[in-house]
Amino acid sequence: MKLRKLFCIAGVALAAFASSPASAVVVTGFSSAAGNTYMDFSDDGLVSFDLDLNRPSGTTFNFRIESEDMGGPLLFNAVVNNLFGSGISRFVLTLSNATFDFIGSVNAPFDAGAGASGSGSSATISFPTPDAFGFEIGDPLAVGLPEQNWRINISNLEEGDSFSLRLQQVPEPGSLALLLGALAAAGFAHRRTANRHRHMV
Amino acid sequence: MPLHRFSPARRTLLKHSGAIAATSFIGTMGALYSRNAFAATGKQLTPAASPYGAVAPVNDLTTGLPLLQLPAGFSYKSYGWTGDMMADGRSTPSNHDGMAVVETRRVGRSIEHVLVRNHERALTSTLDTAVQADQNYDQGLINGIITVFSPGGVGPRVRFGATTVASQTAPDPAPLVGYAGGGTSNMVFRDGNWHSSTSSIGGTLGNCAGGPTPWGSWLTCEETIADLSGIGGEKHGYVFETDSNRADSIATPIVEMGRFSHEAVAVDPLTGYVYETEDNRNLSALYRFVPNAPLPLSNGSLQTGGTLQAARIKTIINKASAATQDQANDVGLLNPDIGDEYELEWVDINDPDASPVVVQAQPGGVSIGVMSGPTYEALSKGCARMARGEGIWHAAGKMFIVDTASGLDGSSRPGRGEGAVWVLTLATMHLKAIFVSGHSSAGNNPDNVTVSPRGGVILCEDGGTGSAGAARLLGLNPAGESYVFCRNNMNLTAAQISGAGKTVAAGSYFGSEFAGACFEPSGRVLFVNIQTPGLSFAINGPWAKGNL
Repeated sequence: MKLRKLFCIAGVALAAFASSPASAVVVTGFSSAAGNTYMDFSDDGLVSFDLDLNRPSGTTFNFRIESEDMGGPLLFNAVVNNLFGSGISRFVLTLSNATFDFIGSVNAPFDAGAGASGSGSSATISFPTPDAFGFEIGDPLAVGLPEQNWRINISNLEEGDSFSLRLQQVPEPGSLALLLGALAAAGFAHRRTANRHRHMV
Repeated sequence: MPLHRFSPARRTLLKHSGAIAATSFIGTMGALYSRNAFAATGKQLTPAASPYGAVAPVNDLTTGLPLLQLPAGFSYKSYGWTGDMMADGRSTPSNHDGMAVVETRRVGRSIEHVLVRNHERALTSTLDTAVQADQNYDQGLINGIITVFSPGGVGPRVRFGATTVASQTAPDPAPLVGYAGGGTSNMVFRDGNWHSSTSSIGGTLGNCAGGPTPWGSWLTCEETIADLSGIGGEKHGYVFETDSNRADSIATPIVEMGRFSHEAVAVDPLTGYVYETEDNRNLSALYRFVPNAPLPLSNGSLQTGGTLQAARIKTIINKASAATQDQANDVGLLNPDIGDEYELEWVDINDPDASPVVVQAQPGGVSIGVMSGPTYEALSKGCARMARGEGIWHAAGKMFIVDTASGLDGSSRPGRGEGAVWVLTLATMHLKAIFVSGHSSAGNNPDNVTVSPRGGVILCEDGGTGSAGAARLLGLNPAGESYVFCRNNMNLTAAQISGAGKTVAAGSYFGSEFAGACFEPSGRVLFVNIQTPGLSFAINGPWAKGNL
């Protein structure tokens, strides 16, 4: 199988690549926080990318199906690099307009207990210890067993149709507490400012 | 599978994010040094609170053994234990020391980091047990003693053999016998896992630390001034260049970088100047090497020679205790207080390969010692004396320099204390003490140093167990105060060792030094060694909780 495409994209806002000449699964959109990037390794019948997360943020990929992708479920694998330095307790993957046909392996080099479960359009990767390095979904490095690619069911789609995949990390409790605290502080500050403005008026 | 250098886009991104962090950190550091809570007392006496929390034993993901104590959320993988088989069919050498990531590259879709690791080894009984690589320096059988004389041959001599004899009337010591056993090994860390290791340079002596270059190699430093050329070997005390591709290592000494008890080096990427430390108690200078080769430098460029220079204090900017400029140069760096600051100038050394000499009545109770030839010239020209120069690391236009013995001992002798960290700002040549330990609990003779891509400083302790009961990795917070990040937890039974498939001796290694701390470019993994019994670690965790 030859590599058809190799994109390295910085994600700031939705970007469109509908005019891409490639014929395999096509990334038509990528949405994530500024600084987050991906490299596309998708090929015929394969959804595959490396995702570098420099900021904790939800990330959405939009894909378009080409003729070479028809005839069965798509294989799926990815490398997710945690570059923002905080632990991830869970990682939730959600499909729109497609479903998971098979939940394959997860390999976290610094968390041997990582595993995945799910059905339908949703899957969850869990880490016994919050993961601060990154992990592989399926077998992106072609290691072979026990690594196994995931499968995405697109039986309800036709050539030219699209589906999306959203990836959302759940921070470790400590980070979550910090985040909630920051949000609460921001909300309090906003309310004080608003009150002050009302008094000024 | 073809090798590809690391994705430029990713490298740029990583550099960019690192630069942002470093710039922010350096700016903050400059502002906060004066707010160091210990500045008023001159030295730090107790550790500051760690932003990562308390440390506790954590099991190694490789062997299952509790080798390190780390904060919650951190994990690690050990690798390259002394005696482990390497990819070249040789056993991993002992005495792991300085180390750095010298190249990050893509191999297919994998990302791998190449590290070069020093092995601080003396003579070995056989050539086979010495480090043997594609490129080797001294392969001769050494058999004899060496003698160092006073300047001009007037005064005492010191003889080196199986023991060191300073007495002028005692008989010769037993001869030195063996082969130069030091060298380096290269290790590959791929996709979060240790992958392989090989020997990468051999035939050297006492490879203590060194430093990475911007062009993807490692400068390995001999911490010795032994001239073995008259007894079957070669002259030692030099710097050599190890490449990420071991076949391209150069086992020819870079003579003009000087012949002295080298510890570490760091390259200023803007000028290509190589800053060098010397580890010879109270008989040391701070050096830099100005290469002849024009920028950009590459593997082998330093072989074309250059000028060795030593630092001299030009101006006293701030010193807690009054001193003249001559006094500051002679003893000012041996017992600094936090916030001491000087402006440096650089003095050419005419003979970087001069032979060492015997000196007497030196500061800090050194009644007789052997000083390197370049340092004898430097101090004769009024240059600054250091106690024991150790680690040095470049980050964002600054050199972080460790003197492991700054301070006073119980007899108030300077140059025999718990150590200090100096920062040399290259744009101004201002040298400032940002951390000085006044008690082993705050810092027990820090040695190697590194700066993370986020701008955080890590120190490797080399003072034995100290009052903390074990060697530690210390972080410096933005105010320059030390805190405990990691503790050596190695106390192994024979059953534990054999169960892990290792061959090292059982026992407690709590006091064995940490060495070679370094990060890969993304800042996710800290690599570090414990020198004895000799093993390497890759540590990962929630770095963003603190400043490392």
